[in-house]
Amino acid sequence: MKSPIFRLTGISKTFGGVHALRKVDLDLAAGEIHAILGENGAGKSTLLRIMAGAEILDAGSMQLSGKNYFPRSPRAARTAGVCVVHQEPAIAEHQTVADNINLGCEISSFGIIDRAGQLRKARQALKAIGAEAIVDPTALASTLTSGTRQLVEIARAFVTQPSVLLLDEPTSSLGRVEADQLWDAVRTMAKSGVAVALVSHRLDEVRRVANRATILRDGAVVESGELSILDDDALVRAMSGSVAKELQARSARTHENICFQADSFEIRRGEIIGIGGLVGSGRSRWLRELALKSGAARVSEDRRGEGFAQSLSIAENLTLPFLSRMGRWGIVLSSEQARVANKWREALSIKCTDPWQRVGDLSGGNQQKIAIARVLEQGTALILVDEPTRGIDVSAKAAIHEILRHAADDGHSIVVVSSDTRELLALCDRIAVMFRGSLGVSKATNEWTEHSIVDTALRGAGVESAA
Amino acid sequence: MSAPNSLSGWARWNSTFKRLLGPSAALCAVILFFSLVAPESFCTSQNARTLSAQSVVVVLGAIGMTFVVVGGGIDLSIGSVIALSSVASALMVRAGFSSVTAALIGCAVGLMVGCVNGFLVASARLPAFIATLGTMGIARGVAKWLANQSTIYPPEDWTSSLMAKNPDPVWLLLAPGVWITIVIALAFGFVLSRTVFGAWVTSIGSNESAARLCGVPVVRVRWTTYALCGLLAGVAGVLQFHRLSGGDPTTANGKELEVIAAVVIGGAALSGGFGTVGGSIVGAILMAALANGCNLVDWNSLGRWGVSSEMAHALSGWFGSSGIPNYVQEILVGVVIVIAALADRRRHR
Repeated sequence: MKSPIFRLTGISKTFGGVHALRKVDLDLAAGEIHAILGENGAGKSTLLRIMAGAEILDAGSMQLSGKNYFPRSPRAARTAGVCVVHQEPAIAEHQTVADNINLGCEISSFGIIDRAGQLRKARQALKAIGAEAIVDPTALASTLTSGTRQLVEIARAFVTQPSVLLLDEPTSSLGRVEADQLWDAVRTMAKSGVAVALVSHRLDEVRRVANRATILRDGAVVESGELSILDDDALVRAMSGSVAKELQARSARTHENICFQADSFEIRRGEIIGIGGLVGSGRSRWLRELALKSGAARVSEDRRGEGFAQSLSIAENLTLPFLSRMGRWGIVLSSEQARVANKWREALSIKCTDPWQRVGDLSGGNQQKIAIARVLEQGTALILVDEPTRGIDVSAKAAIHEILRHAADDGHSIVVVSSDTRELLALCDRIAVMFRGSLGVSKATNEWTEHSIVDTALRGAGVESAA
Repeated sequence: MSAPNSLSGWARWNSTFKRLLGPSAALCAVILFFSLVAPESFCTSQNARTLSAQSVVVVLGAIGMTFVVVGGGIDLSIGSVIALSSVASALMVRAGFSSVTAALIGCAVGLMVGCVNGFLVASARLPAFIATLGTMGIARGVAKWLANQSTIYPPEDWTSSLMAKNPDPVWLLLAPGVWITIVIALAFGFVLSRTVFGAWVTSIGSNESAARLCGVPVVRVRWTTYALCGLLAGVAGVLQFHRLSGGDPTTANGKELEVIAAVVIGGAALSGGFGTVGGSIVGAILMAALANGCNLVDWNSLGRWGVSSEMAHALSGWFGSSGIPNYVQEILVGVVIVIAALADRRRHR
């Protein structure tokens, strides 16, 4: 291995008491493509953001080409020669491709833009990454497809002549052909001596393009080395944690009557089915479609955006879907709202001063309880819950699990989407895994292990059965 | 390399030209219409001087507003700043300063309010609508306070030549203030379309986070757009003072809406990212021409275009013998704004 041009030593970062990164070491050599792997929430994105100057580290140090590197903003990182290509490309749609490629480092004299020069530079950059036939630099950026937008971002990175290029799941929204174009461009950059760090969930892709890999679990490095030495099983084992933990698994139950059936998916009364898979594999979309097909109530993963009117009270939020039930002739009785709110406050032990407290002032766990209370009050047989315990502390997590189990005992059928494999194993009767937009066959929980869930999420169901 | 480069220049020009086509066609239609219904009065060199002098204030405001709107913001304080700067300028003249000093002070006052707007929106991150609504009230109040609630007339021997419709050297043809406006328009049109600063303003309005990630100094650029807008409102205020021969603290009330309308009619997107100085000026002149022409309509002259005298008589019965009343003008301007917005919507679909 060549000597590293970018070296991270002992990087740590905490968010509100939670360790996102613990003493992470990472070396990047010129010309290599280095994959950073890990489960959802393992700290990959945080690490990338620290390198890119979007987040400031708590402890540790970074060296770029032998000098200390401590970026306080994306701009500082860019000036120092560290460029990022984001999952969602940052493109100014109203401007041309050439203007976008030169954005922030325009070619000008006395403040007047040299459009011909910008165009020439954009052409050079596109040619250098092998995209000159795909992207027209004179086109308006709004006419680009999502794939070609990524190419524009890479060309933009190229014009600043970076020494380090960071890629954050650059192909998650791309098709195969577009992804191949992107990888050609990245390889070209690497050949010219740029060190590339790549965060990706796609193991096959990582194998095709990367030389080395570093694997994070719970914010710490668990494995690092040449990809030619690490086989897929070793990678998956490192990412999921090999030791099977003791779980307070839910006793298996048999259920006869089917509550809902669509395509190959079916759920019985009183059953909890878990949906595993990677972020971006299409689980949330599938859940939304299921909600439309079945008319079931859904608890969104996005409490702030989709779930609640944060400035309204508990009672108002709880009764929002059925305000017409809260009185007569279109008049909403606040006493009725308070009655409903108090009922659930007691049943689910929601901690609040009174039913008229603002939802935005409550903790995440209590907000989630209210969201679940709302779908329970709605009274549909089928309930869909997206990421029930994301961002919630451990004790509230247990309480939410308890509430969902009780609801199932009462005859509700529940679909839970979760990125937390341990949660799926502990909570659900059956589990199915989503892989690149298609849902695998559901199997009883005791047929799954943490390892097999992660493996199916990363490689699809076919690989495992073939192995 | 030269052929593709010129092609790119052509593509840029072509796309801008297309967006200017609608407003320009509308302006031509309005001019043609009034040339037909008011041939003796609308289509004269004297009226051209009047019309150009009338539109100067809105044109200047619209140039500044274009920068703010393209950058994704809005400035409601323009009308009040015009009043404040005209009062300030008048006070200076009355206090015995030279008219050049007074004019510079007027512009400086505008720049100052613009800087306050820039601070509130860019640095303190207030919503532009609220921040400039606040400064709108403050500037208007300060203007009335300074002027002691009445128009300030400078000494009688002082002559206001800047906005004279028949300028002193006859070869000027238009009032000197109009020429100043034309120079400013050309300069700022160049700045928006050809300079790094202009490209940064556009990128911020188009995608702020993209601009930030690419190292565009977002706060500073946004600041500058508000400062520019204030400065141009200050210039407009000085010219307004010269046009009215007095500093009136209640002048230009509601002008900010006219200015925003001009920018929108000119094809700028209120969500930011697109707009041209040329388009906004066309929008401003379009509204001025509507107001001016409506006052000059002479129904009886329709006879020469083959309209029967009964018809002409009926029209003057409806609208009065000369001119189209104010309320019809207001409806017409409203219709033009809605049509411009609809055209913009269609383009984006």
